[in-house]
Amino acid sequence: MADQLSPDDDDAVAALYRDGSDDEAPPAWTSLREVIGAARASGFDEEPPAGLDAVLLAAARAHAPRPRQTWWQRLRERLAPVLLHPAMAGAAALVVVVGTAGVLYTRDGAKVVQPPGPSNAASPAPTGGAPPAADPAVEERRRADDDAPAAVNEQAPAAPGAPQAALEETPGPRAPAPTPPEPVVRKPRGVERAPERAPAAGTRTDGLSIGGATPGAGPLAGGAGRSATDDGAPTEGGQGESAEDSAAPPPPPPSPSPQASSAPAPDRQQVAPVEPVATRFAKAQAAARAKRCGEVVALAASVRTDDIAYYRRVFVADPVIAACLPASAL
Amino acid sequence: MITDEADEDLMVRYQAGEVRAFEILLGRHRKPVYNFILRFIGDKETAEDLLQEAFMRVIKGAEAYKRQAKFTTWLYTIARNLCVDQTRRRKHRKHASLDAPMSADEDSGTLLDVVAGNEMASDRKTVNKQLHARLQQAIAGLGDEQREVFLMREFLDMPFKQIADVVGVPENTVKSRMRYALEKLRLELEEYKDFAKAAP
Repeated sequence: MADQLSPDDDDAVAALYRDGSDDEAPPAWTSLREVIGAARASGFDEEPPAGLDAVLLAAARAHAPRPRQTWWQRLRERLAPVLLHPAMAGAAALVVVVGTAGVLYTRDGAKVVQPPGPSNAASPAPTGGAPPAADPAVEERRRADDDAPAAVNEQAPAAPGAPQAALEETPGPRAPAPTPPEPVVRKPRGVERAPERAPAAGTRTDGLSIGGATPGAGPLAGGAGRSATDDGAPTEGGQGESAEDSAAPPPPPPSPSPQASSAPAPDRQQVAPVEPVATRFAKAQAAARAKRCGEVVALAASVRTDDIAYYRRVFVADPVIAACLPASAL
Repeated sequence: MITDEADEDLMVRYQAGEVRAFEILLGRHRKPVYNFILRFIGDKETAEDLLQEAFMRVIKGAEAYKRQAKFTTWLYTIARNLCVDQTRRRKHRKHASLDAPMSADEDSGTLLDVVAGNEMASDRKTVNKQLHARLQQAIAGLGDEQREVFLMREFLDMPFKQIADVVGVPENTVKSRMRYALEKLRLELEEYKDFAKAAP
């Protein structure tokens, strides 16, 4: 009821507070406003206590909204206490050191795989130099290590310098040798190297030397090679040397006396002339297929001299070779 | 210049952490708001508390303030709501106490001393004192709805539309309340009409 407003009252109220329209407002209200104005002019309005301002300003400072920050500023602000902690400096230094060491270690490992240069293995010039007299076991080991490059060369022929390092860095294939490196007949050269080197180079070299005889055998050829010997002496070593032979000129015949040469020739030169029985076996196969039975007979004699067990179990067991050999040789 | 800026701009500045902007806002509005609260409540002590509370709410709500909102509407809404709540709490003291001191001064006298007689005082100072007391008494005699509308219009110079926004009723309702408030006050202060005309 009290909130109902007639159009006249609406106009009157509006006119009362409209600038320059006092004439339209009811005189009584205009007089009232004059009374109110006189009261206010004479100090009706009061000042709030000054102490209140100080309290409010202090509160305004305390609760002042913080300036809006970007996400980056907020992140920095939150992480600053953590990142500026002294322990973080130590941790960062540790990370740097460990990271650097890791990178260096990885690079060294890469060097193991990547050959340093072709100069080392590019010229495995075989010489007829005889190995110096030494302990036979040590000599065997040394020869095996020297033969390893040939096996790796087969896998990465473009990196002839790498094999030595590869042997150092990849002990795996060498360790899991399934059979003891006990050759049936161990000759001072060539054949002796085979068991030492076989596990590392076996699967790699089989594809080359024996692979010729068993096309498509690939890595499995190594297993075939081992099974061929039965005695557990892997013959891949010899096959590995065949790879070396393929990269090098034909070696001269093995020196009959290791002490014949007093010159301290490199190990590689000492073992290079030795032609492994497996190579000779492969050559004999090729000669037999080419009907060059004379050559086959010569190779048979050579193999028989060097490794009689290999000769009996592998060489003459090959039907192609056997066809070329006289019955007495079988 | 920062002192010439609109309330809304100052509030945005305060949002950005500029306390000086809030200081200017406080300087602009503390007196009108205080007087609004004081005339609404009729008690100085409570008015001070409510004024402080009103600005504290502004401070605490500054972060949520939107530039589109009119600052005075927001501030006066806060003040008005505080007054309404306070009035509801002390409904029994609807009118100003006649025997309460009119101000903090010891010799200010009571409202009863001033309004006891109807005859006009001779000297101007005394008349002013009487006028203030009668005006305060008349305002206190208004209903809550009429009083808040009258105070907002007269003491805060708010347009009817803004009052309607603050109070939450249609503008015509505000005007109607204003009309009844004016009528009551006119009857109460009729005798001071000539005094006001003679005022310098």
